Amino acid sequence: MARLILFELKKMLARRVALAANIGVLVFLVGIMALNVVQNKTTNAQGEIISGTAAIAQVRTDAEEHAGPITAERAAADIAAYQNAVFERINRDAVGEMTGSAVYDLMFQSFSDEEVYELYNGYWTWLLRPWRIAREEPAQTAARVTPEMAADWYGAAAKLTQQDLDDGQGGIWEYSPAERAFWTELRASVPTPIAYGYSGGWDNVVNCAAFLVFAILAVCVTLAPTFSFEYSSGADAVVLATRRGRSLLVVAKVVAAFAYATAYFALCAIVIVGISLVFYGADGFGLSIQSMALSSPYPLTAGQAALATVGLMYVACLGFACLTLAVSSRTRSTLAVFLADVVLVLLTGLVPSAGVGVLERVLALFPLNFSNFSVLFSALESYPLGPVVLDLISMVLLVYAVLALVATPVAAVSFRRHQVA
Amino acid sequence: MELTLDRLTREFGPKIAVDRVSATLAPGVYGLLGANGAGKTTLMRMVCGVLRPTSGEVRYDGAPIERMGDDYRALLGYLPQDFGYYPEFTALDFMEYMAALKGIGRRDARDRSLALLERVGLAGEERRRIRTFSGGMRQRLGIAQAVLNEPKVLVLDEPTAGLDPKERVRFRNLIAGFARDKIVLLSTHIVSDVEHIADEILMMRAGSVVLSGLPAGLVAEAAGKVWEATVPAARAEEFEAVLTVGNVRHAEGGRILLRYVADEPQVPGSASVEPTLEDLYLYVFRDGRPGALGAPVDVRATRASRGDHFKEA
Repeated sequence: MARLILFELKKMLARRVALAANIGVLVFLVGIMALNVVQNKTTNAQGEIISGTAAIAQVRTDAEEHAGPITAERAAADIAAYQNAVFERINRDAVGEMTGSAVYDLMFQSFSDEEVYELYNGYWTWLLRPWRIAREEPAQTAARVTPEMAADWYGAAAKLTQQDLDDGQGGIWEYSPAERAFWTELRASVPTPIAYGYSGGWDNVVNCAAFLVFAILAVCVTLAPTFSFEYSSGADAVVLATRRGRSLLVVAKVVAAFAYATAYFALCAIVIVGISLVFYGADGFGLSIQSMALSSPYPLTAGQAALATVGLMYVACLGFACLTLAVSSRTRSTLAVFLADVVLVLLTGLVPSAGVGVLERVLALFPLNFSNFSVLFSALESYPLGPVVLDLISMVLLVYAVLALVATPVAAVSFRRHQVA
Repeated sequence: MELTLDRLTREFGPKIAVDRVSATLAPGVYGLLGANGAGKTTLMRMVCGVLRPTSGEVRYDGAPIERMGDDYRALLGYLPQDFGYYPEFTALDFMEYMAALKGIGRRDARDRSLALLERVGLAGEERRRIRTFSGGMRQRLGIAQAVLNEPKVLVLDEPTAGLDPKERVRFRNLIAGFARDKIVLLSTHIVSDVEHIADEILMMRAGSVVLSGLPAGLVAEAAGKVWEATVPAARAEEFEAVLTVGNVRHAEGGRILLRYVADEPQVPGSASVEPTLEDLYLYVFRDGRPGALGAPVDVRATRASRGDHFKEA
């Protein structure tokens, strides 16, 4: 059995197309992750644009200035301090009537570059998020926040979930009472105080996890000929007439496919996670996911969110591997198998939901969509299945598990019953 | 040891590829002759269990092969037509892979593979990728894998197709060497491939076995049906259009020696000559008519010492 598995692995990886796809994707990932570091840009307190590791260090310094647990008291005190600093020099009542760009200009007229830099620290935007209106400057939001509102910062943060539920994803989805209860309870389970700080490495993993679709595609390219090549080359007649051709061979093919898919995906994930953590830093694993997006209702840390995203991509990778095996077992054309994979893996990321809630939920199940942080952790994608409500994470796990459980036997049975005609 | 084909039929939609073929095969070499599309490959695939019959069954020592499953396949060696291989594998990789599929242990696999590769003339080529092999080398690799498990039933489908004459002779000798104590079913549309090594010939046409028997006995069936005549070379095409011509040889004085098969002489001055298996083949398949040796052939009458182990459907 072990020998058969090794031979099947050799068959898979000896093909030039597979070899090119596997090496090509790895090189691409290393390249894109290197660019992700090199091209990282930010401005410093002097208004200079800095890039690469210097930019990463600057972002880290900025975040660490305000790092720590955000208790309700601290939130209120920090908001008050921000308001004092800003409205000491600009008119609090006037900013509410101004456009965002006018306020931005006013800030530079009223404060030094260093002071503006501090007042535009991402922490303030994040802290004022519960009351922020789209395209609003932090000073405008701060102008509307009263001490009473600031004192109930956690209540306001929790209301973000309620607002999202009321909004119904911009009016395309009406949440059922069960769904509302599900999200409300989930939000209530977020541990407090929320820990704020620097988690750049884990943020970057989440932001770059979508690149793992190329790893999935490489896996599909490699596995597409698993059965179809046997049919198209005429090798099926030889192998199916052997003692183990209709029994252990199928098992060996499936095990080899899983082993390869796992190893290759792990390699690609190591590239993305490794480069992210090496250059952006591994600290911040235990920070709340809310420090990345305050509206997220998940009781996760930044590190857990990053690993969950990569884990879900792995689950999708296995699901597509199984699907590829099943399609491959039913057709002689390797190209047809690969095209089916491309459509499902890549093109589903380009299909608009067109304001249709059900379609939005179906599309969210494909890797290019669910690997997006906001879709996975803050878009409140829920699936009411009778009395049970599943979130996107559970639904992805369920769908790909079912796909694997259905597709693998289909592949095995199809090959076992294959008739050489 | 006995392989029984019992009213074996395979239909592809409205087309009947194999039509109620029955036979009982004992150890020996069986040459399955027939034109392209006669149903040879389909029949062999059913014998190997890689194609399910529409009706009928194959039995090995009385047990249906479908029920025997792996046990039957353990006894089987098969070289299919258009032998499929893995281009990036070396010859040794391929042999060891096939050995693993045939359930042969790792050490035995290596030893047997090397021995067989040497026997088929591929010694020194073990580490070469199959995609760099010539057609003849690939076919020899094919026969080596087919006999790797020392099969009791060896099925070779058009093993000499595409080979040059020297390779074909070499291949025939190899098969003859491997055939001892086995049921060997060898299909071809090249008569000379089986003329010398087959113990028994089966001729297929349109899905049915239309003639079978010992080569000598079958050839005798064509006695008095093969003619030679000398005709003007200018009329060669005219004769070829109306006669089943087996050979045309140029003679002196702008004339040709025409060899043809027919019930009666068709050209003035024709002389009856000794038939060969090729003449019989031409006679059987002439003008698209099946098995037209006058009355249907009683194959049982052609049996000799091998016994009555083949019968018409």
